[in-house]
Amino acid sequence: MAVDSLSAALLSAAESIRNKELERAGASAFLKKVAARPAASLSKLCAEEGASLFLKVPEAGYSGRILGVDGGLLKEQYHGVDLILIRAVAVLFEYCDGKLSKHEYFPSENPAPDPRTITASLSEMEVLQAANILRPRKEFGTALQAARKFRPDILVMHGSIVPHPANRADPKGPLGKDYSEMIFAYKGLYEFCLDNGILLCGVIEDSRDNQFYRSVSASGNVGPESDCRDTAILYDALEKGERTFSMSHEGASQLSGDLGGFASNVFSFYIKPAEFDRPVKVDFLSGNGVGAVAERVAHAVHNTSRFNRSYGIPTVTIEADSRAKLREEDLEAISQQISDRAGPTPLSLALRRKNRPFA
Amino acid sequence: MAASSAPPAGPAATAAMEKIGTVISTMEGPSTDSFSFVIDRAEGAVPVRKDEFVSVEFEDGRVIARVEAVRKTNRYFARAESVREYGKETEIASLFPIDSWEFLVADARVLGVFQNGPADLPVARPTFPVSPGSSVRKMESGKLGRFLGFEDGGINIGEVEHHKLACRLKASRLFQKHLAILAMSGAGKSHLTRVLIEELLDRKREQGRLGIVVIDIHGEYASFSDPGPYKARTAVFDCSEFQIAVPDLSGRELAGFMPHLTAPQRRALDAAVRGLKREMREKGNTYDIKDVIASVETDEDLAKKRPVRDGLIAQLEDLEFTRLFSAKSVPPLQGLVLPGTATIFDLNRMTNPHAKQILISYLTRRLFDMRQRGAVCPYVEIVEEAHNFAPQTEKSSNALARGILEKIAREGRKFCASLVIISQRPVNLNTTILSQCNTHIIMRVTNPNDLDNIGKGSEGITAETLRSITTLRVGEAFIVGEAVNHPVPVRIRDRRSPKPRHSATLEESAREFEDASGRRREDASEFV
Repeated sequence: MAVDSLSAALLSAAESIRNKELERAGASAFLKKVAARPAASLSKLCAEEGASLFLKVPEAGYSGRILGVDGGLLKEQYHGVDLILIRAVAVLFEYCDGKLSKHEYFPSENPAPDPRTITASLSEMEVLQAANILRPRKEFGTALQAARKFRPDILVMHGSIVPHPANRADPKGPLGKDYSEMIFAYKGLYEFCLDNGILLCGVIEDSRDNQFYRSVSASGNVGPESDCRDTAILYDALEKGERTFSMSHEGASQLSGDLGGFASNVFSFYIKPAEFDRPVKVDFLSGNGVGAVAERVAHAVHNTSRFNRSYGIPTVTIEADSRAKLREEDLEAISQQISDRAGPTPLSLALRRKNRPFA
Repeated sequence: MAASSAPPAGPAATAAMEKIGTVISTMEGPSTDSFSFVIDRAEGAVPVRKDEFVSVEFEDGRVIARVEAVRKTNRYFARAESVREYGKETEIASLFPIDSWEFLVADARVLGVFQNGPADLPVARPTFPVSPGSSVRKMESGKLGRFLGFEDGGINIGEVEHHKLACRLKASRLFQKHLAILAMSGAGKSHLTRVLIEELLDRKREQGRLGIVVIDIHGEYASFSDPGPYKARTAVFDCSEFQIAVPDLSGRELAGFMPHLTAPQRRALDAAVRGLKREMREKGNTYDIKDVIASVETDEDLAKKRPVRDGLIAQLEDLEFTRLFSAKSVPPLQGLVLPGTATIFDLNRMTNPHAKQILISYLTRRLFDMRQRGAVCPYVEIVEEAHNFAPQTEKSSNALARGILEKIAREGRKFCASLVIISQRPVNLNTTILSQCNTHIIMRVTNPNDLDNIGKGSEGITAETLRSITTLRVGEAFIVGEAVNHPVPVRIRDRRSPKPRHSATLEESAREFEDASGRRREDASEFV
């Protein structure tokens, strides 16, 4: 019976989640135990931060200029063309003792999106890759311009500050130029921030990484095996207002070669600003004195994120996200305008799957 | 003459008008009936308000619309749980730039179209929607006046809400097919009525002057005869002294004041009245209600039908008790209603409700008869508390005037006898009369039954306008029907006539009473 087979499948899915939860809880308990042990066992991992697995982030009203950058992307496939819309917005919040005293936008609070048409015969995966290259290129380019204009104390990107290895493109392939421009944008921002004493960090909402648990359990503190995501394991291991020590990205990144010397400047930690939310992963750039930089980044992120018990994301990131978000209506309007100018052609016909004769 | 100050239609005419918003695309529109627009931000000013008229250029000309609702949106306050969370420790405004997310969106109802071409082209029906992205502009006064059907030199009852435009209604459109003023107590009905009387009194001969008859139940309009601009054109009659001349009444008319009479009693009364009239003709004497009673009492035929006679006498004595009937008419009605003058019948001191019914019934009937014969000028009769005199459900004995008011409502237009019906309980008002009032001026009403009745009885009133009626402030009104091309929200102008005599507040009245009592006590003790 179909109902019986569905029921069995549901039971099986639930069972696998239950098993995974046992694994997660074991790993989490292990981390709590390690955190309570003498510091010597962690000295190899986090000597700069007092050899502590978890560190307390003091709660205080944030004062300073914080710049948040985010991008929005929409893509649509037509019969012979792919259309990608991208925009990025930078938002400057100026806080004084925890109170927002001023805000500004770059290039504006509602900039027009950039349309990009892909007429080359790319596979769906390649189009997705193109989108994933074009978007950070736009975001980091905008971030650099905004940083030049506003000179903030800290710049918070929405997402990682290192490119994802999966998006690496063949330099001679159709996306090679875009990829190298993207890397150029990353490096340009790193350089500007390091040269001008601007803290650069990226807030990753739903990180899938498990580098933290792997490195702790591989450092002589043998724990239960787990490939759970770090944020899941740390969900109840970290208390509100705590963060992990800072890990280096260099070993983990497969893009060290592309980023040149900057790869060794990128670190990350997990922080839990909201009691009922999962921890967020924060990447940051540090020239030297990782511990001090991590403390300043953690202070800014925690004290601009801790106001909602179930959503711990910096306020400036929330605003930038809202400003950058593109709506389907934007895509429809721009697509229509392009069609009007291009004239009738089968290339701009909607895909069959979107044009079924019956609902 | 239609308002002629309107500039010609077309894009050039709109060049100077202020842009206040942009039409947006929603699930519902733009359609031929409605559209929404996002309102431009204006520092320190509210660019557009509910009930304001706006215009949008489009292919065929200019669409005129009225703002039916204005909404504010702010994504930072869209989710209750987030508002509570972020607001726990501090104000949300101290964390996020909430101001920059606030949008004002207005919903507008399309009313008509000024077509491109000569300025005197009639207003057309909307047959095509405006485009998203079109600019929404304020409406210039001259054009709006023409659109709404105002007339230079018309009855000026106030200013169109949110526009610097006098609401000048064409008198014939306002009065000829009768007017109803509907509002709850204290909403400003009497004030509006004063304004209407002033406007009618101020009309010049060449504009066509009407006689004004006011059935003033609470003595609110007697102050028109106080020193001031209207003293010379106002006559006030204290109805406690009003006398109906019995010799002027036929037996049938007299019986009309006694609805419980049986057919034999009517016949007996008719015979008695005919006898008295014959005697009056022969001997040159006159008679009053006592003589009618005496005639019935001494009638030999009736002596054999005592139940008929006694019942008739009892009802005639009831009429006598009202003290309304005598041998001579006071005041004489002939010459009482004159063009450009107000005749106010002050019923304030009359306490007998039956007497009031008789008086209004008699007066209204007589005036209408005279008007039909051309014995009085075209006139407007203003009836306060009309639901008491023309109720929907009361027995006819308690609604003596209903029949004649209904008749005037139906036929008055042909004879230029107009009614202004004023009521605070529209639900109790006779539906025939209300439906024959082609213009309604509706002020604040909150009773759901009354609102429902207004909704059903007022043409052109939308559900949104009906909702607005509950929130009108004192002195604000909606005009719907014949007098205007579209429902118009109006703020009634200030009066020019002297202050009403009975306008003291509760506190003032209480103080006055105690002061007077104190003086009486002092006088008495002095006397002792």
